[in-house]
Amino acid sequence: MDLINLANCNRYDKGIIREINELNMYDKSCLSGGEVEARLLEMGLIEGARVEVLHLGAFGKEPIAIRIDNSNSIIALRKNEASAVLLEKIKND
Amino acid sequence: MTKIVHIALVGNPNCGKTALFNALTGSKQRVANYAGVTVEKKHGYFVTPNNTKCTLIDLPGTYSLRSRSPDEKITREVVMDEIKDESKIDFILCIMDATNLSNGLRLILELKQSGKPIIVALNMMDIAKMRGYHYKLEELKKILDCEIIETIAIKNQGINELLVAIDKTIPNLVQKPNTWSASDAKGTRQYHIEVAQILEKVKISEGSPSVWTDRIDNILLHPVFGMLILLVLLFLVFQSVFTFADIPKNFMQDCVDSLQAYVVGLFHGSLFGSLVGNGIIAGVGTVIVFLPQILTISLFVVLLEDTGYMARAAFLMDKIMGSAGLHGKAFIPLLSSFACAIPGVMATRTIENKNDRLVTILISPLMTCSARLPIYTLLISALIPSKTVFGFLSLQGLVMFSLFFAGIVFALLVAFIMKVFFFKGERQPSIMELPSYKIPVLKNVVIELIKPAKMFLKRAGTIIVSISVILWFLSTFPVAPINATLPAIDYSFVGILGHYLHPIFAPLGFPWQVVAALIPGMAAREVVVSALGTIYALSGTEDAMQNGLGALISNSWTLAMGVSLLVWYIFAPQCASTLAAVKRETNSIKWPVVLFSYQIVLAYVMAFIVYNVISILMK
Repeated sequence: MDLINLANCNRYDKGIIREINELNMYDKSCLSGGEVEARLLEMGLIEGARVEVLHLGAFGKEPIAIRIDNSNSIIALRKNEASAVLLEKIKND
Repeated sequence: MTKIVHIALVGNPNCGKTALFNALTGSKQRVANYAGVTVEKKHGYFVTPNNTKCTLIDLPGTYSLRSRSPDEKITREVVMDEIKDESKIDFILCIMDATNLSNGLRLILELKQSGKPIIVALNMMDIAKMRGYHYKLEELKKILDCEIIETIAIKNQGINELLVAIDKTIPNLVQKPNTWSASDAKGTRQYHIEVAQILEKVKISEGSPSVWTDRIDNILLHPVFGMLILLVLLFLVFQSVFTFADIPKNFMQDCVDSLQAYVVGLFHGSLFGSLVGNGIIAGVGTVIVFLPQILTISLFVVLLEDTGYMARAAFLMDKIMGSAGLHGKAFIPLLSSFACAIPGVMATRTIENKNDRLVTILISPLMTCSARLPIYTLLISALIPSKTVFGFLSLQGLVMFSLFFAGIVFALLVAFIMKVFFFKGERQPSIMELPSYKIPVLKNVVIELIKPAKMFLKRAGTIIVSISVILWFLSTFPVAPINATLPAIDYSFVGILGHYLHPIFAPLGFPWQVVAALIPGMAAREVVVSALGTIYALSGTEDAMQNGLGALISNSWTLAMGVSLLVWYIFAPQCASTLAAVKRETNSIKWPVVLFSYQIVLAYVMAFIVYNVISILMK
């Protein structure tokens, strides 16, 4: 199974979350002890959820705005937090 | 039942909680602070159809009861009766966004562990139906074992049904033991699984998200156009402060002037007439005329918040905030600080990390608050010619915009320096929600608009009245000798103090009148204008009385003097109420001292540079 990092996704990329693990994060100085993981989970990111990248920020492609499943709300996160999320990519139609 | 029932209103952010609070309580609201922690405590009151008096406690929006910010901690403490001087919560009113059920259900599962009875308001039913989110309501009631009422809070729909449900619940309130404990990542995953199982049972159809929100976002979040639109929008705000709001302001100014002249004339020559006319009416008047402008800026803030654009602005600004080491969420307290730094400082409570929050608190007062508008408006209209540049921009508006802009730039610089040198530490995650766009509802806009107006008028009625009286006293006594050659004010306390401190400020080009006015200006920035008014009006020149302060300044001040004072006010170190708020929020004397010191150094140095550069250039 080929997993890609949410932080490296382009606009309109779609995928299924396969792993949320803060040990994958770029910046190791970010909060530790499962805190980032817990916050991602609380905002609705969970293994098995479908994610679509809707918008990218103007500078350095961050923040990344994503839709989770068919939720009516959009979640925006920075690259560093996104790098904790691994996706199995779904081919764009 | 004669007992007052206490209800805690809990819900995710952006699910219409404020709208429901307003729909239930109308204008019967009271805002205070929780002792010690100063998280805003919003209580509302209503009576059910069965005549039971209820107190509704609005709690900060949260995704879970695990407390990661002071705001979220309060939510948990109130729900679990952990706050000493707060009445026990009889039941929880949990509001849930029908278009985003999984987030809401996770919170309810957590709330159920508190052992409190729960009534659920399933909100935004109109949008949910339109978008095709359908659920088996009876099934959901059975699974959650609580009453669920469908509501459309912004349209006041479902509120009566909710009240009836509350009446039905009140006689049967049973508190079960509290079994809640903070969940880690594993526990949160477990909640996800439980919610998925519930949704499997109750889901009829899974809707599709708003197409319009996506279409609008394609433009508003566009890397180029989105940024441009944000800039144009901010510019529009400041232009309208100067054009639309100027009309009622001028009218009010005329009224205040005639009233002052009338009162002084009525008690001709007497000390009492002078106190009421030149002291109180002139003092309060010069401040109160800024109400239209404060309302204008507040209106924009409320509208941007209610439409859902504010979160987009935070998205667009996130990278810039991040480069200064700030959390994306810092944008919202900073924007609130444009109205006043005090709500701005209070709004930092949603920032989870202590250091991030401290830095945001320390730079909030650099945002141009509405209390600086009086002095900006006065000096700009007096010294900057009112002409258009590039065919459509007002030069005065442009200068105003630059002052705002300078405040922002310095705030980010200060934040960056603090982050690099003083607040090293872990980086904070930045995750935020972009709610779908909504059309604001007039009633809510009005309720939210009345708050800053009330606060401003209350200040005008209390602090500013008393300062006007004190200042009038200081500028009237000691009375000038009969054979005086100088204007009377030169002999008064203000004159003495102004002259005494003048050498310190002379390198900045401040005349002694300004130095004198800075003293009462400590209490509130806008007082400087009324103080200047009093000082100049009392210094005997008939011109000052007739043509107002603006004319006097444009006649007797140089451009360098005016700009120097404007620059001083970008940093404006003196605002006692902000310092008090910072002390309260940080619970330490250290941070207000740090804030005051860095602001006064910056103000002095920058005003010094600007004054001397302009003076040399104008020669």
